[in-house]
Amino acid sequence: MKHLTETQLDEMLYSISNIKEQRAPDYFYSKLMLKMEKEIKDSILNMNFKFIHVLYMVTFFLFINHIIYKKILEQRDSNSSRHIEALASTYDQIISN
Amino acid sequence: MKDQLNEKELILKLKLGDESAFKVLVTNYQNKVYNVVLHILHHATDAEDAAHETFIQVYESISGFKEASSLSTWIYKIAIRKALEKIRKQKVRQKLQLMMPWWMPAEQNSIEALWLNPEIKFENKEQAKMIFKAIANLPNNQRIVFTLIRLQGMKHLEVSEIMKLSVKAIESLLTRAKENLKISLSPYKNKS
Repeated sequence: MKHLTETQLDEMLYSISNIKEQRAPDYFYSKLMLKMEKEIKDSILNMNFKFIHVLYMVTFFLFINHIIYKKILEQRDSNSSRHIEALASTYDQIISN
Repeated sequence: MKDQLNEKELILKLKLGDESAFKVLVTNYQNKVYNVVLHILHHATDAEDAAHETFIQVYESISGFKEASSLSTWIYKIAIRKALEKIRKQKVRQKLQLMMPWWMPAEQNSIEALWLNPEIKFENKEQAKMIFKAIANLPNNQRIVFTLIRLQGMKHLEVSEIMKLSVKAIESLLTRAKENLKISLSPYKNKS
């Protein structure tokens, strides 16, 4: 198939060259203002959400820390009492021998 | 008159957060921005969205505008970036439509908005339709360069600033766009 020549292409493009500017849709500025207001509201909401999210994460972290710390303390207590009992029993054995 | 603010005054007022200056800016540029993004996107709703996003970005970043280029070049740069973001979203949407047609209803491309333009004479409508379809099928960079130079009447240098490419690269993209159009429009010309 024969391709178009430069002149033929220009002729074809001439048919759309009389297009001036398409007008922006009606109420463009009002819609833009609404969108901007919505974006500001969303960003405030997002900021609040971020704050709540951070607060929740910190609380959760502290709670987990508290539980772990409590467990460690309990374990340490039971370990030390077991150690004393073991020491006492060894001592008894030595005495009995 | 506020409409007759010169560019420097307008930029200064915008930087000071003057709302009336922003209204003047939108009034002055809304048609130009809308036309550029419409020619790149070929989708009226997406074009309106991209134009809105352009002005929101202008409003948010005007304080950082260093005036290295003209205001219009800077606005066009933002508009094209927004249009390219929309193209990426369009592609994702199209992929999702293919993968999950029951979830994403197919959207009609409103390319008609261009060729049903009342400026186009009735006898040229069919031809205009073919031309816009062919332009829509060009690769992104070629389509942008062709649109800005041939349809928006911008200079090569201005487009090279907007696209951050050399003037030679712009010329080459324009030549390739024309070559592609010659190929894709030849069946129509041969038929007529």
